[in-house]
Order: sequence, then C-alpha cells, then structure tokens
Amino acid sequence: MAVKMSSGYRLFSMINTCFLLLLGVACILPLLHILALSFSSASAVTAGEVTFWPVDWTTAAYENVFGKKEYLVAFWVSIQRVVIGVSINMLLTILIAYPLSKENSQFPGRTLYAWYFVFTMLFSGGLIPWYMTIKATGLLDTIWALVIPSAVPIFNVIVLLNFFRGLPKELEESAKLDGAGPFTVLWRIFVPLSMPSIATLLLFAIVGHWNSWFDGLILANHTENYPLQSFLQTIIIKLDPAYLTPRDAELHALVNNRTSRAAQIFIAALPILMVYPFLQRYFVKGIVLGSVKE
Amino acid sequence: MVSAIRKYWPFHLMILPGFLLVLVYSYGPMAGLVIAFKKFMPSKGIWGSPWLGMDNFNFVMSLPDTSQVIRNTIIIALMKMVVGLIVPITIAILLNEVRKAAFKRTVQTLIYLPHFLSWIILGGILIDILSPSQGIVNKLLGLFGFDPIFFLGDNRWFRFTLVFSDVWKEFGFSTIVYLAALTSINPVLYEAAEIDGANRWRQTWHVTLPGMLPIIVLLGTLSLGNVLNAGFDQVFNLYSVPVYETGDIIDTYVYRIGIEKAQYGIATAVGLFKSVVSFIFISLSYFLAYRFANYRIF
Amino acid sequence: MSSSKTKKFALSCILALLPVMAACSNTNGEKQDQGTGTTAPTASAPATEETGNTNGKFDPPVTVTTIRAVDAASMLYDDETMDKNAIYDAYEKDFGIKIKNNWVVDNKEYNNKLKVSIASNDLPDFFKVTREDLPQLIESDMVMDLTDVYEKYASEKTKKLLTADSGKQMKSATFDGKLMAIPRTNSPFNSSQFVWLRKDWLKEMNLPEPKTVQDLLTISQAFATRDSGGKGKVFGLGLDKDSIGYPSGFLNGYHAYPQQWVKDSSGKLVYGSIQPEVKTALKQLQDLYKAGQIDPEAAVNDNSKVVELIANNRLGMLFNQFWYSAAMQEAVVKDGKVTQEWGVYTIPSVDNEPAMTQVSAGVSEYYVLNKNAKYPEAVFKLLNQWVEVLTGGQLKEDSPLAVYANGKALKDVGKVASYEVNPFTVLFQDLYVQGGAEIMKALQTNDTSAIDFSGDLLNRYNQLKQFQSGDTSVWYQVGIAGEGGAFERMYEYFRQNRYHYDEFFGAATPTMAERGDLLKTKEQETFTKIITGSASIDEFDKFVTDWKKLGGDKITEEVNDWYATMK
Repeated sequence: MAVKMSSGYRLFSMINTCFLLLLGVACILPLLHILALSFSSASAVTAGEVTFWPVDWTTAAYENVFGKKEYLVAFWVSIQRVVIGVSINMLLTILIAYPLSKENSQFPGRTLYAWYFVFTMLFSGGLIPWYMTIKATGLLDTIWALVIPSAVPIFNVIVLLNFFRGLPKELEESAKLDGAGPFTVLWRIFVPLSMPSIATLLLFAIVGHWNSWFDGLILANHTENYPLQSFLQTIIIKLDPAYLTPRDAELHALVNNRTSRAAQIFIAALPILMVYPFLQRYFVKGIVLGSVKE
Repeated sequence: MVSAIRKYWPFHLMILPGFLLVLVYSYGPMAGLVIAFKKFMPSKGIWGSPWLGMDNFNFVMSLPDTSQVIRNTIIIALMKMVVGLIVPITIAILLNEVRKAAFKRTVQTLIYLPHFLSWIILGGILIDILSPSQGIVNKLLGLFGFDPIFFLGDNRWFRFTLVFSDVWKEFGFSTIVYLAALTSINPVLYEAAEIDGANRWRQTWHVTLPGMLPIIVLLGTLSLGNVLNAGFDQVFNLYSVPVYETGDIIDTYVYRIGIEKAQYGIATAVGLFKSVVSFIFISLSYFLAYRFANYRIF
Repeated sequence: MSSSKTKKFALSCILALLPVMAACSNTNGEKQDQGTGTTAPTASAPATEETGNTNGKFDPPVTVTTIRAVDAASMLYDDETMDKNAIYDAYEKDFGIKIKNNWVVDNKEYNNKLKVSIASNDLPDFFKVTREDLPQLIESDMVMDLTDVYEKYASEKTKKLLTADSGKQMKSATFDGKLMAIPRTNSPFNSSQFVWLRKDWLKEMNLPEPKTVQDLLTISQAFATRDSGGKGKVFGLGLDKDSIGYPSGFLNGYHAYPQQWVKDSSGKLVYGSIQPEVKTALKQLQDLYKAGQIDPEAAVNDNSKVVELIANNRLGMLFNQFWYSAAMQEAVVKDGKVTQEWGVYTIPSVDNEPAMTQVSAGVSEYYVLNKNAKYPEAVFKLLNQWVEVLTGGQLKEDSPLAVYANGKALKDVGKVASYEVNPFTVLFQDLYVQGGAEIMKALQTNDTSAIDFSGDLLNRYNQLKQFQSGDTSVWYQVGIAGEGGAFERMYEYFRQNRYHYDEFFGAATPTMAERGDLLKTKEQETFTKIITGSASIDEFDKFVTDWKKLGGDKITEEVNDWYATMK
C-alpha cells in the first residue's frame, strides 16, 4: 500500500501506536500479575512481594490444580455448556434477528415482537420464581438448566438485527426474484455476508456461557455438576467473617492458598484466550476490506 | 388476518422457538413480581401470601439513606454510561487507523483481557496498585511531584475511580462491536470521499462516524437500561465505610442492611422499581428516535 | 477463681470422659451397644411408630432426606462422594437408615441455596440452618415441634451433651415454650478475643507484657517507632475494614461490649454499643490513628493486608481469635524457617477490674426437622450415633464406631473430617478450654489419657509433637494449643471467670429482624469514622440518639420483654 501520507498524519500514527500499546499493556497487567502469583511461593505472595514477575519460582500450584478431580470435572462441564449453549444461542439469535430486521411493511408485527423480547431485558421475576420455573420444567441439576433458560440472548439479537438492516437490500431482492424463500435468503445471503458481526456475537455467546457462574451455583444440586466458573467462585469468594464459627475460620485460614487460586483463575481464562484469535480472523478480514481503498 | 399469517408464516416460524422459550423462562417467572406487593411466606407460596399493598415500597423509601444512595447510583451510572460510550468508540476508530494487522490484533486481544477477571480478583489488584503508600499509581504520581491520592478512601476520588476502573475492565467488549460495525461500512463511501479530496479526519467525521451511528445509538439506548444499575459487584468489592457517602449504591445498600437475606417482598419491590425506571428511559429514547429521526432503534 | 466454676468444669471433664470408659469396657456387640442409647426411651413410644424397628435397626430400611455442604478442600476419597461414602453406608448397614441428599453444594453456597429451597418450599426431612433463617421457618410453620420427639428419641448421652452448659444453648432453640430446633452446640468460648503480640520485639525493646491498657499503649507506641528495613512504616496496632467498625477486643479492655446486650444497674438489658465506655475507647483509638500507630488504609483493607504487614515486619500487635496463628503461618514461616515469635495474651484492662472477653451464648447453627418428616426417630438416631462418635475419642480400627469417625480407612489418615460427613453433628461446648487445661500437661508427661476423648485435641497434640521434632509447617499449632498459646489463655479466662456473655440469646425480635442490620451498619460506619478521624468523637452522641430513634428503643423494649420471660 504505497500511500501518500502527510507528515501530520505520520505523527498521529506514531502517537496512536504508542497510545494503543500503552493501553494494551495496562490491560494485560492484571492477568500478568495473576500469572506471576501462580508461579510464586506462598510466603512471597503473602508478603505482597509479587508484582509482575514470579518470586521463588515454583510450579507447585499447577501440580496442585491438575491433581484436583473437581477442577477437571468442572472444566468438562463448562466445555459441554459452551458447546451446547452457544449452538442454541447462535441458531436462535440468527433466526429471530432476521425477521425482526424487516421493515414493518415487510413483516407487520415485527415491532410488537421486538418489544416482546426487549421487555425481558428490563423486567425479571426475581430469583425464586425463576428457580421454580426451571424446577417445574424438570431441568434442575442437568446441563440443560444452564443452556435452555438463557437460550435467547436478547442483546445479541438486537445487535444482529441492526447489522442485518445494514446489508444492501438489492441482494435480497434479486434472490427473491430467483425464487428463494426467506430461509434460503437468510442462510445463503445474510449469514455469509454478516460473518464479522456473527463472529463478534459468537465470541460474546462463548464468553457469556464460559463466564457465568451464578446459575450454576443455584441450579446444580451436586458439586460435580458445577461449571468451572461456579467452582472457581466457591474458591475465590471471601466468607463473611460474621457468619464463620471460629473453628471454621481456622480451617479456612489453613486452606487459604492464593497461589493455587491464581493458577486456577489463569487456567480458566486460557480457553477464551485461545478461541479469541481464531475468531478475530473474521473481523480483521472485514476491516481490511473496509480500509484497503486508500 | 389469516392471509397475513399465511403470507408471513416463515417469519413467524423463525421466531416461534425463541418466542416460546422466552414465554416460559422469562415471562413465566414474571408472575412472581406480585411478591413486591405481598408479604412473602414460603409455606403459602407466591399466590397464597398475604397482600401488603405498597408497604414494601414505603418501607424502602422510609429508610434513612435512601435518597443518598439513589443519588449516588444515578451519578455513578450516568458517568459510566457516558464514558463507557465515548471511550470504546474512540478506541475503535484509533484501532481502525492502525495498518499493521498483527499489532492491531494484539491490541484488540489485550484490551479484552480484563473482562475475564471478576471484580473479586480485580478488586484485590486495584487495592494494591491504588494504595497511597505502596501502590504503583501513587509512586508514578509522586515522580511528577503529586501528593499521594487515596483513590479508594477519599470521597472526592472514589466515583472517578469506580468509573475509570469499570471502563478499563469493560471497554474492550464494546470496542469489538464497534469494530464489527466498521467492517460493514461500504468501502465505496471512502473512495468517494477521497475523490472529493477529504483527508483522514474528514473521512472519519463524514464516513466512519455516520456508518457507526446506528450501533452507537443502539448501544447508548440499551445502556440506559442500566440507569439504576451502578454495578453491584464492582462497588461491593471496592467500597468501604469512608466512601459510603459517595459510593454506596442501591444494590449495595439493600444488600448491607439485610433485605436480601429473606425479605423477598422488599427485594422484589426494589427490583421492580429499578425495572420500571429503566423501561421508561428506554421507551422514551426509542420513541424520540422514531419520532424525530424516523428511526427504529430495534 | 470461683470454686463452683471449677467444680462444674471438673464435672464436665468427667462427663466427657465417661464414654471413653464405656467404649473400653464394651468393644464387641456393636448393635447392643448402639441400642442402649435409644432402646430405653423408645420402649415407651406408641407401638404404631415401632413397626419395622427391631433392635435399633429399621427393617425394612427407611429413607431420610437432607441437604449438605462440602468444603472445596476435599475430605473424601476419589471414589466417594457426599452421596455415597463409607459413613452413609454404615448408617444404612447398622441402622437401616438410608440418607439421601436432595442437594450437595459448596460450603460457601449452602446458605444461599438453602434460602432458595426455603422460599420455594422444597425442604428435606432434616437440615442445618443459620440463626438468621430459623425464625422465618418457624413463622412460616415449616418445621416440626421437637419437644416430644426430643424427649422420646434423644439418648441420655445426647441430652447430657446438649445441655452441658445448663441448657442455655437449648433454650435459644425454644420458641413459645416449644423446642423447634436442635442447636448445633458449639463452644461460646471459641469466640474469645486475645492480644496477639510479637514477643521477640517485646524482649528486644525491653517492654512489659500487656497487663494493663497502659502497657498496651506503650507497646503500640514503641512498635510504631521500629524500622521495617525499607518495607514501609511500622504500625502499633493492627485493624482491618471489618475490625475497625467492631473493635471488640480493644473495647473489652475498657469494659465496653459492642453489639452485646448487657445488664445495667437496674437489672434491665441495654445495648452495649451505646454505653459511655465505648466512647472512651473509641477516643483512644482515634488518638492512636492520629499518632500514626494505626494503618491509615485500615478502613479500606481486608485482613490479607494485615497479614501482609505482618510478613513485612510492619506490625506486631493485634486483637483476634484463637486461630489467628493459622492465618499468619505463611507470613511467619519462610523457607521452612520460623522468622518471628508471637505470644498470645488475655485482654488487658483499663483499671483494676480485670477485663472480660465478650462471647455469645447463642448458637449460630441449628438443625430442624421438616414438619412433614416421616421418621423423626431415624433422624435422632443419626444424632445419637454422632454423639457416641464425638465422645468416643480416637478410635481403634476394630471399634464399631471407627467407620463413623474416620470413614473408609477406619483410622485417622487426615482425609475424612468426620464432622463434615456425618449428617447430624453437634460439638462440645468447652472442648478448647479443656484443651488449654490438658494438652500441655499431656505433652510434658506423654500421657494423653485426659484428651483421648477428643480426636480434635489429640490431633493438635500430635501436631505439637511434630513441631517439636522440627516440622515448621505446623508452627501455627503452637500459637493455638502450645505453651502460652490461645487455648491456655482461654482456660485462664475460664478460671478467672472472665467471659462476658451476651444476655440476649433468643432469636431475632421482630424489629431486630427488620432494622437490626440497618442499625449495625450505622454503628460500624460511625465507629470507623470516629477512629479514622473523619468524624469527631462527639459524633458518638449523635449515633446514640439516632440508634434509639431508628428502632433501637423498640428493640430494647422487645429484648427486655424476652428477658422477662427467661427469668
């Protein structure tokens, strides 16, 4: 790309690069800190000596984590949850967003439907009725309890319908002339053309399922059905000292292992770190298409 | 009517599965909102519990600090909304100006990282780095001759600390949506602008921003739904007694005075109040956009 | 020391030892032995309830449901779960009682999950519940009146154990004269506060041991002048964001008892936090803070920061409970070497009157039976059996009780914390006081007979042995059970009659339930602000007025009504 660049713009580019670099560093520091903790000795961590580099290097924390059956079981539950949950999320997101992206004239009733969905973003019946509904439908203590009640990610639907609207109308018209029905139009035209936004929402869906912990705690009746983040929550949350008998306080003081906690947090973040660059291909490609014309 | 349904049946069919799931798992439990007007007794169930009228609401309003926590909540939430909108847009545009794909990808990945750490963990880290005596931030400020600032313990600074740290944790998330929006801008528009002699700044102003506008409006509107959610997890893990005055929000207050413990009626009343306020804000912006710009946000 | 106290204590020791003797004289014949606890009372029970129950065993077996919490730190074997393990199997085999867990969650989530179960009216036959949740269950008429079934089915030994404190803890489960729950009896003494102090600094700086508050202030001032060697300023007294709003140990030295109900001169109960002694003590803390002897960041930092100060030689004195050395383990023991010497002291007094440590007679956890539970007898069998185990000492492998105490391995391998797996457990009310009296003696004489009744104490004894032979990973046990450790101080408080009980030990009164937390948060806020100097000491008087106005007066009234019924 041989481009003529004004010197002003070149200066801007330089500052911009430095700025974004600093920003990136500021964002990676906490994770680096956790990584450093996980490779340090317990007494160095307790003394607050560890910042971004391990002190008294040791891999004991990792050996500890990988020896833990509960951790590995929870990891597996999370993977199942993501695979099943995200498939359902994406399918429903696309199916709902497409009709809702139509004008009122093309699909009377779309506005009513849109409000029907948006309303649930704002109002909820609260924990107890939610729990009772899930129990009544027999999902309790199964993997389905984690994926069915949250099957429709409304936020993602709304975002995608906005992206669908932005696609050129002519494509759809010409496909229709060729005799394609709405389903064909959706799968053959809308979905392939929206790959950047779909990849974005796919990432959100994966992250959403991977990170959520509260439903796992409430809806699983046995600890071996906890997804990873629910399991982690039980490790990292601090007990309110007011509700702790002194005897239990003693036990907790003894198992309070910050290095092992750090290792578990880090390993739990790894899968997302690996998925992310893979999905990124899609939006970076889009960006290149958009900005290649200099 | 029948012919209308026949004509549009594929659309209805597409929506049907999601419609039913939402009906069962979102609208079904909403019946439980009646608890807000009842004294909930588990043995009698939702329907059998005695009615209280508005007592639960009145109770909350009669609490001594209610007006202060509502004010704190709105101030913090609004600040977060505004900064949380501007920063990701700016970063998305700046990232868009970077040519080296590898660098762009790396930065993009990095800014998303804090999102994966919960506030319990980040809280501990922030307390470390913001400490006035030992924290790295104050040591840096010291190099420039500033006095140490007690970010987490000083009422003048606490709200800014909340807003700043929240944006730092979450801006990578919205930046990605805006980047996706940028990809959908038709390149032809840039070509045309260039032919018209527009430099990068003008292109950004006249092509990029308008191209992102629908998504900006959408995310802005949806964030209005959080006007009374100032972020329980964050505040809970960062606040302490000295900054209750500026940092205590509805959710932390309700939690601290024990309403969540078992008084579901009151907890539901608080939730319902928040929902209604959010609903009003979102509806308002929806209808304003429709009325004056003839644009449907969703 | 008062002689009646000593007698009572000696008696309780003997009572605790009885089962050991019983177990020794009766090693075989497991069924009969376990039967003796229950057959006597059940003989008088109506015949209809006895069908299928022969010789202490249900035949055919019955199923009782419950809910459980497990600790993330695993105490079960890999092939065992809370649903299926050696202890549950033993209950089925020996008693014909199948225990079914409706759910099992992590310890920290138990109460949240239980609230959901209560609210959705989905309760098992019996379960553990906190003091906070109990009134709601009773008010909603969801739990069984245990007055009669307790009389009928609890074994004599169980009754003795539960009422060893002359029945205070049992009384806290009595509502309108009806026994609605079984308290998970526990030691009130365990919540005593102690001064934890860097002994090596004390010697090095030639300072007195803290006998009076004045000594304590001198020490604080002296410690605060120390040099940490570039690690930062050293502080005199350690506080964190929780203790700064409730500095009970320090206040006790001024005969002030925050958050307790105390008897005033007229015999009425008044709230401890609003008494004038509190103001004096807070003023002193404010002065310490101003003088830089308390960490200016204390109000923001949690306890892990206090431990960090300790690790960096920046703190040498604080108030806390008996187990605090366990929290300091990583800070003090570095690379296998003990780097600091800590001592434990009773609370010093501001005047000639010895200071008392405040403890609550109330229990924090209760067991309740579902109103619709079919087999209350079976549930009480679980309790009776546990009492046998608890009082059975460290059990030999061939003991019929061994499996209940140690699980699959039948011997103590540190894997099964028996009180975490057995479904219905209560604890000794004065175990650690006894530990303070006996462990060191046992260590000197190598004669463990006085502590053989308790696996817990024996375990501590063994760890002290381990430490003596050079294992620093159990350093913390020295501070707890070793010479001059917390247990001995606990015993000292006991001998000198220095426990200050909360006079109110009933369930929350109506206004307390509605306003209690609100008032408590006001109180902690005020105390914190006064100590950190962001409010003047006069703010205390305003707090007292506010407290009364915001419901405190009403609560006082209700508490005194309750008190009248207790006389």
